[in-house]
This record gives sequence, C-alpha cells and structure tokens, in this order.
Amino acid sequence: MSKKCIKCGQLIPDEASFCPHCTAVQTEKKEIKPPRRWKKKALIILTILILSAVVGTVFFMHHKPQKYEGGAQIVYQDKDKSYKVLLTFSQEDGVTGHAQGERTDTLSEGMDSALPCQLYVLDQKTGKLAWKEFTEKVKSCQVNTKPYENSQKMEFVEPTHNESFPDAAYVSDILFHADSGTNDIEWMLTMENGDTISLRTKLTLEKQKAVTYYFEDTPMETTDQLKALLASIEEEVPSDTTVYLHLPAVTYDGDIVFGDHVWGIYGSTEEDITTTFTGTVSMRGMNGNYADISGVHFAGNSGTGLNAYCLVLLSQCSFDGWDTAAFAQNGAWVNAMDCTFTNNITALKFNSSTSYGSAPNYLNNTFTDNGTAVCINNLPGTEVLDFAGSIFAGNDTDIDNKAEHPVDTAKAAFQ
Amino acid sequence: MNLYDNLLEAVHYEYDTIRFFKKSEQREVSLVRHKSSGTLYVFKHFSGNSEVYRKLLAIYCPNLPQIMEVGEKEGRTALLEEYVQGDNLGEFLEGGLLTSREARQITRKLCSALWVLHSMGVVHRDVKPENIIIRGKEVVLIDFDASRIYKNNNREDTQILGTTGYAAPEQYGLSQSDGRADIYALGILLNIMLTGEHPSRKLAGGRMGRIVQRCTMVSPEKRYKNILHLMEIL
Repeated sequence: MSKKCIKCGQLIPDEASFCPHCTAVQTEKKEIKPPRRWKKKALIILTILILSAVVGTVFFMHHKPQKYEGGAQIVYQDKDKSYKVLLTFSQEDGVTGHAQGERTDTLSEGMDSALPCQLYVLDQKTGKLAWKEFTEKVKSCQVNTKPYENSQKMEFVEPTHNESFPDAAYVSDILFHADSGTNDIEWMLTMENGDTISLRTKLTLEKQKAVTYYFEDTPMETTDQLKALLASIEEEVPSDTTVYLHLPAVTYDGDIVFGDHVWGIYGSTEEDITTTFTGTVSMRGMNGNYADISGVHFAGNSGTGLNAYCLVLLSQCSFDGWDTAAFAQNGAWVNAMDCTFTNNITALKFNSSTSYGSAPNYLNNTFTDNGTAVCINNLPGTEVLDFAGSIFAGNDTDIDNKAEHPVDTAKAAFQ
Repeated sequence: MNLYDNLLEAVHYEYDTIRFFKKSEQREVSLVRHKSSGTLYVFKHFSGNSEVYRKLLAIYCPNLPQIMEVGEKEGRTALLEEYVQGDNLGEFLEGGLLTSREARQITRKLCSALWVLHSMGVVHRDVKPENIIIRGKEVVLIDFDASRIYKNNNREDTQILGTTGYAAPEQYGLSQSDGRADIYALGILLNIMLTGEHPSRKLAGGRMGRIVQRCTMVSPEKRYKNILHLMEIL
C-alpha cells in the first residue's frame, strides 16, 4: 500500500486502477476504435518515412551502411567475422547450412495451411550455428510477401525467434490457401550498424482436387450405407483428391476405417443428437494425407475410440468411456482443440516416431475423470505442445510425459 | 496488501451482493452494489488467468462493459466490471423489427466490440440478443468470458509446422479463422433483427441478405475473413 486514492485519500495498492472504497477511477482509460484501413495504411507509411529519415540521418553520419542482396543465402561480413545467412522451410536443411530457394506444396481446394519460413545463421568459417551472437547485432527483421501474376498475396506472421525451432534465428509463418499461387518471400534484416541484408525464397501452391458428400444428397444414414460410401470412395476417388464428408446426426456402430485421402469429416447435431461413432474409427492416410474431424461424438465402453495412422486434427469432438480415446500410432499425430475427454482410461495417447507432425496447439480442451488425460510415451521433436485454456479435472494422472516432450501448461487450469 | 486481497476485502465489507448470475466452486459471478454510492457492478471471482482482463482494464470501448479492477493471486482472479443497464436486444425486438439502417448500425457497433475482443485473443462465442444491451444510443456486448483464450497472445508461441498438405489455420489458433465463429453468429443476429427469423427460414432481402449469407457460410473460409472486413462492408 503506498498510494492514496485521488478522490477519498484512502490507501490503495500502488498498481490500483480503481478505488473500491469510493469507486473513483485512478487512471485514465484509453479509448480504442477499430482502424479504418486507409488510416492504418497512411499511418504505417508515415511511420516508415519518419523512421527511415531518422535512421538514415543518424547512421549516414557515423557509418556508411553496406547493402547485401542475395537469393536464399548470403555471406555477411561483419567487422571481425563472416556469417552465412540462409532461408529454408526445413529445419534439417537449416541446421546443415542448406538454403531452399524455392518450394512447391500441394493443398486441397477449400483448405488453408501454413509453413514456417526459417532464417538460419552459421559461422562461415566453422559451419556452426551462430544465431545468438548474430541476432544481438540485428536491429530489425522484417518479412514481406510478393505475389506473382495470377497469384494472391500470402499473409504472414511477423518474424520472431521461436522455441519450436530452437536453432533458427527467426521464424515467420507463411499462411496460404489453395489459390495462393506463387509468392516471393522477402526478408530484410537491418543491422545495428546500418547494414541491410535482403534475402528471398519462393513458395508455390498447387491446388489439389476435392469432392464433397452431403448427407442430404448421398445416403449415409446407417452404418452399412456409410461403409458402402467409403468403399465406393476407395474405388473411385484417387488418393490425392480430398474428400469432404458432412455426416448426419445418427449413431454408427462397429469399426469404421477411413482410407488413404485427405479427409474433412464434419458431424452434425439435431435436437441433442450428435453424429456418434461407437466402434473404433481408424484414419489411414499415407504420404502426408491427413484428416480434419469436427463435431463428432465418440462413445465407447472399451477399446480405442480413434486410431490415427496419420495426422488427425480434432475440433469440437467428445470422447467418453474408452480404454484409449484417441491414439496417435507410429508415424501419426493427433491434435485436439475445443474437445472433451471424459471417463476414459487414457484420453490422448502418443506413441509416435514422427516429429513435426504440425499443429501443436491443444487449446480449450476439457479432460475430466480420466485415468490418464494425456499420455506421451514416444514423441520426438521440439514442438511445444501448448494446452492454453484447457481444463484438467478429476483425472488420476493429468500428463504422463515419459517421452519428456516439451509441454506448456502455464495457461491450462488444473482443478 | 495486493490488488486481489484489497478488492476481495472491499467487496466483502463495502458492497452488498444483490444476486448471483453464476455460482460454482470454480467460478462466481454476482451483481454487487457499492453501499455508499449505490452504484452497481458485476463481480467475478474465478480460477484462472487474468491476462486478457488486465489488458481490457487499460482501455475503453463504448461497446463493451468497462473493467474497473483486476487482481490475481495464486491462480485465482477477482475483478469488478461495469454493470450495463438497459433493455437487451431480445426485449427491444419485441417492439418490432428494425429497419435496415438500424440493424446495420447495431451490427457495426457489435463489430467494434468483437474487434477489441478478437485483437486480444478472445472469441465471444455467445453473440445473441440476450447478451446485447441497448443503452441509450450505445450498444454494449456483455457476458464475454475471457478465460476462453483461443490463441496465445504471444506470437512467439504460435506453432505452425508443415509437411505437404498439413492443414487448417483454425487448428493453429490464428485470429482470422477463430473469430469467424462470431461472424457466423453476427450474421444470424442481423437476419433476426431484419426478419425476426433464422436465415434458414426467412432470409433478409437485398444487399443485407447477401451479407447474412456470406456471414453464415458453412465453410468458415467462405465467410468474411475477419471482423474488420465485415465492418467495412456494412
């Protein structure tokens, strides 16, 4: 207690914004309004102009800055040392000093995705990673994307050092969709001494075909009908075509296998009845095929609810009564957001040798009354599994992390 | 004494509890009255992080209730929030449907409120007439629950990795995609203000109808990209 209320004079904590004794507000609140685009743009341009003028004047007086312009890699000569600076989308290439000047990915029609563009720095003489000493000399690091003709601008997250890529100096996530086409990803580093380093790499998206089945149009009301539909998909739809499946609010019994495709499986709810599976659902994508499942209930009394043999992204799904609710088998990865896991012996289990499966955010899940909520037997890699907003209540064990994989539960609630 | 203890003590001795909106072991939300001035506030006391509320503490948006004070101690948060008095939009609509101009004005103000929440990493997820208070000329969106953070506020923590085809930003918790749940709800609300019906039963006519359709596309990708985009169109 060390300040007095501006109105009644009673003692209140130093950082108080409000006096609970007389209701006087102690600090003025800042009114915020959504930006208008032209205003924001004008402001950004003005700020950049002023900043460049100030930076330019100050540095020109002390040091004649050098400009380094390269493709995906460049050698930067500092006073006493030279550094190899390079761009890549692959951690392995970055660590071993291999730049990636272009990359082509495929993406299903209607889907969005993202890739981490990484900047690595190596000591040119020894070939060892040198990002820590190098970034101390960096004043600013910026990324921009430039679309080619008939392409759309990809959005990006401002570059920053990211613990999931501990060896990279900076990482910027490039966000795109199936129609993004080709963009140049341009990086600009401004050093404390005024030198600038420009690097670029190229990212191209090729669109993958997709087919959609709605329960209103295609029979899938019963387990047999769904199995028949899946069999015909296996026969007729090539595995590089994405399949979107909109399921009715019914219960399917028996084990069901979804084959080698990218799947978008969307459950529905009508009058308290949600699309439900009571047998084991297996997802068998291969070669990078994966599944996106949302709004589905997995109701069990033993066995495994979801057997993932590929990346499976769950959202707004619920699992109850299983020996193992969702199981990432070898080579797979299961992600869950806004899901509930109740009364399972093990809720979410990893036994996978795949690192960098993607999507390590486990936000807003609820794990209640499970034997073990999250069991990580084997999971390599450095991605931090983030359980922000998730609730753990009444589980015998909340997280059994035998693999000692990085996990962040700082923003989770344990009750 | 710290903020948390100071606030709890003051509320205990200097405020009357009028009624409980929610009461559980983990979470208590009540209407309280400051004894000497008679001013009403909403008092919230819960297990969880106060980060978002602390950010909201420093700002003022006419379309959101003001956060007066926030204290956190050992994982518990206590806060005092402005009590917004007025008719809710549900009661307001009992008096008749709105004109296109009125509905647009209300929706724009709700966009302002949602923009503030989305920019702090909070999705409202419960935009409905009962949670919208008409206070004079202002429209205030109440009952957001900032404990439901949908992304890390720290961009450094945003994890995205990819092998060919690995999917969907909504899994990564990026703002544009998650906020689209609120855009959907806003579309339904706009239609109800204009027709009194859910768009699946009766869609508003003309340009507003097209806006409702775009807001309520089943596939989030086809909806407006973010709340600012919708606001500009309105």
